[in-house]
Amino acid sequence: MRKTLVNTLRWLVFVAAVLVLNFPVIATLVTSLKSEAEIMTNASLFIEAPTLDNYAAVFAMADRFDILHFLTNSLVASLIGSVLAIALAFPAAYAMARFGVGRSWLLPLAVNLRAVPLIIFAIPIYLMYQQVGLLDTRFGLALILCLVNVPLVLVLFASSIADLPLEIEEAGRVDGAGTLRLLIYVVAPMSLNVVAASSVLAFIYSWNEFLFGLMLTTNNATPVSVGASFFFAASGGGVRWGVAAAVMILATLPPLVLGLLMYRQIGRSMTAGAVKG
Amino acid sequence: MPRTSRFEGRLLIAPLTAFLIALLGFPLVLDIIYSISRVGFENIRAPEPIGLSNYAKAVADPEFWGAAWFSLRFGLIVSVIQVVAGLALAVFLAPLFAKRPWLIALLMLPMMVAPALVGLMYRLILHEFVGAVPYYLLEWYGDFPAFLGRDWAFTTLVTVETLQWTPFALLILHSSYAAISPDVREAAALDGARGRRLFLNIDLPLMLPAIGITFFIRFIDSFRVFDNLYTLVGPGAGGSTTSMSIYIYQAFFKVGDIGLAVAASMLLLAASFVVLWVINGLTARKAPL
Amino acid sequence: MAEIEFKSVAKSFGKVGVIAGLDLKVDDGEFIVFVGPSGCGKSTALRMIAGLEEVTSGDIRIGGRSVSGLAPSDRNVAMVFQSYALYPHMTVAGNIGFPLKMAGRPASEIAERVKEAADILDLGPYLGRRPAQLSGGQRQRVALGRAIVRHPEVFLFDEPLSNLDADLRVSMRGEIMRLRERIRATMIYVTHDQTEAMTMGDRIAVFAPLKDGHGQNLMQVGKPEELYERPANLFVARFLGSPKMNMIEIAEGQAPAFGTLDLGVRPAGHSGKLLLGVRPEDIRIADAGEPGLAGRIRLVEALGAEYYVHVETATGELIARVMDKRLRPTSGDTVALQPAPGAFHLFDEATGIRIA
Repeated sequence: MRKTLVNTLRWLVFVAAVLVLNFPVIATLVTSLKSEAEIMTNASLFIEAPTLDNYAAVFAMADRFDILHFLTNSLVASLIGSVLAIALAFPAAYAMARFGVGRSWLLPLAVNLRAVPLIIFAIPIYLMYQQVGLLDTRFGLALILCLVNVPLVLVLFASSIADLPLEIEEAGRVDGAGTLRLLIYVVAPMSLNVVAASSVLAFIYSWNEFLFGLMLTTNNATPVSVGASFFFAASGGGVRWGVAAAVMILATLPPLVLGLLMYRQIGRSMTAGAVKG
Repeated sequence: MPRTSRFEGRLLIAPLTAFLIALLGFPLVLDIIYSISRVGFENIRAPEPIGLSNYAKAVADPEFWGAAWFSLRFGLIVSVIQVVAGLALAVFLAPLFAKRPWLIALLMLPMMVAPALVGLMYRLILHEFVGAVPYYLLEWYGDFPAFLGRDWAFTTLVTVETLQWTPFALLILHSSYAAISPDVREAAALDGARGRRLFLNIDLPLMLPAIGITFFIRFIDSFRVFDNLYTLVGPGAGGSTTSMSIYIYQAFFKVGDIGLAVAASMLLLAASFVVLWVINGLTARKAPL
Repeated sequence: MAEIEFKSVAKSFGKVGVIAGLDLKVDDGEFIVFVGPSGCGKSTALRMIAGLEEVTSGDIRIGGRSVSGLAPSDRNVAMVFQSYALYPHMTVAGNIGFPLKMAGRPASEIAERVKEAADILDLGPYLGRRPAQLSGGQRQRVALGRAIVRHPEVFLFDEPLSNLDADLRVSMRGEIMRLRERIRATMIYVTHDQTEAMTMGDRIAVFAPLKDGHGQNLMQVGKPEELYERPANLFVARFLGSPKMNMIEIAEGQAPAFGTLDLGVRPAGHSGKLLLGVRPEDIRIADAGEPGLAGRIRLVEALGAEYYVHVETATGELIARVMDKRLRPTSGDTVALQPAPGAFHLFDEATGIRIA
């Protein structure tokens, strides 16, 4: 009897936690489905007359606020950034794990970098980009997103490659594979899990990046995390809350969906990244 | 083989190294040069070396210390709350997750949202006219505070940050808790430890490394908080809610005093190293993981 | 030609020396077994042939060519690992065909040769499966297939049967010996199991760990019977044979004798203690009072086909093997032990080298 009571309590606590922790998203979603008129009068979480007008409005105002442009910027920069981070980190992690090259400086650097506030580098990078014309470009943004993610990805790869059975690589070498072919045909396929999990996490972190998006872009390459904040600024006096809410939901949809679909991998990566750091 | 493998290893690590030199090493050098120069946007290519006066200016600026103090206070409070709440939830809800692992996905969602967007969302839900929070507080208590006003801003920010990142603590601590071998618990049960005694004497000590790491990571992340502060409160909103990162940002973009901004950054970097060094010292004395 | 030669090879890991002064020649087409206790360097020697470990000093030649500096992929040796080391993400066909793929052979040739290898090893029905879906024995056969498909000159086996249970081990041993008939390549087989060594090798090489004070690893190399009947030193004498050879101390100056039986040997110009070795199967149990070494039976282990009789004597405990069931040795009996004529071995106690 006591057990079911405690169990019920657990469920109550769980549901409460889900509601409270996810409250911002829930409330914003609710607001996005209300008409502007209703928003003014009804601030509760119950929607009297749900409508998709706000979402339609978002896409209709492309001339003043081009959300597709921002979403595309985020997508392209995040994709390039995460793919680049993986491409740079994987061979380096192999070299560290198997050849011992760079273990004394690269790994500690990566680990400590995660503790350093990246704004320290933002200023000189801004000035550098200005000189070489990378300001406000998707590629420039992608490079920074890659930089932001490399430490975590490197740590994850280094530890997972080190855990791979060495004998299989030895068999590969005896079978005639040099290091490059070994990486392509043996090590990478055996590392698919960690590569997938790291890329998802890197993509999400890239998508959510704000500071560098703010500092290094103005309007051409602005990601949606920054673009959404423009919406508030651009509206001047009266904010159209319904449309603003719709913008915010659209801006956060990809990471949320990825989070629901791949929570296992993401969870594992986050935990591994924390422990091995 | 070591000879060729050393060479191959260097080859494999070269692209990443080049990348880091370009995007990390070079900026760092620039940082150091600019921090000891008088430089504005007009003379970027030709900074005037002026010794340590930028550092002196930063150290003399009360807003610098205000920001440092804010970051420190904020970081500590937020991390402690997150770890405690995360621990409580992880342990209490463990049986639920054991049976249905996918439940934890719902609690991980808050971490998926960009902190900047979270700040924007709070601007909506805390809004006195259209926000859900004031609405419900009005219903239940008859009144609500000025969330972003001087008295409440700090608490609001702490709440915002805590609510978003407690799931991280929950995730790490839950996986540490679940990793405790059932054999250990069985042995303890045979030895007569149950309930709270079991938790305090067996589980907690075993989870201590995870607790430490979680606290450490949350502390560094909240120490350098920027995104949600910026979108929720805005830069230059008054000393009470300026973090170190916001201070540096303001010095750079608003004031245009590159030297000062960079000097402050370097000081922040030095502070990070101190924190790291302290942590390394603490963890080195404990048993290796 | 694929004879393999170790010339004064030494290997250390950092400061720890594992192999010293190794000189060994393996003939083309020979099946030689490297055997010894753990830490004796046998696996390290094997891996140096493959190129998986670097030689610290000295040279290794395959077919007369020095291979130092050659990557494993360039040495044309095939290796079967203790843990099979199959590629988990490839099918059986993919695993077996991988070396050919690395050699750039056309797909049709690869398919043909993979089928050939699979047929030899009865793996035909499993070609589409992944290693995780196979049993231990099947996995080992895939590992063999991967090795033979290359038609290499040299086969290296690194304790391939250690991970298998007893029955499987016996049948796989037969499998490997059958392979040996078909393929006349040079084969080097590493094991710690002396039964495998004695039954499988044309020659066996016994290795000893350097850290036990031996100056070099190679204790003796030769045909199994040679090593068994005339061990060159104490290490080989004790290593081969189960139960171990019995050792009796002979004090300095004393004439070698088995109890009251003088053995009639006088090691010329020799000083220091001697050790007299007699194998359990070479000891005959006679009634008490007869000439020989007097003793009392402490324990009788009845193994069905034979008895191992533990006898306490003035010079320590000896084990005798008794095949004659009629004798019925009983614990507590006093007996006299006699060695079979000429079936004794004399070793210098200090150096371990055989004297007679």
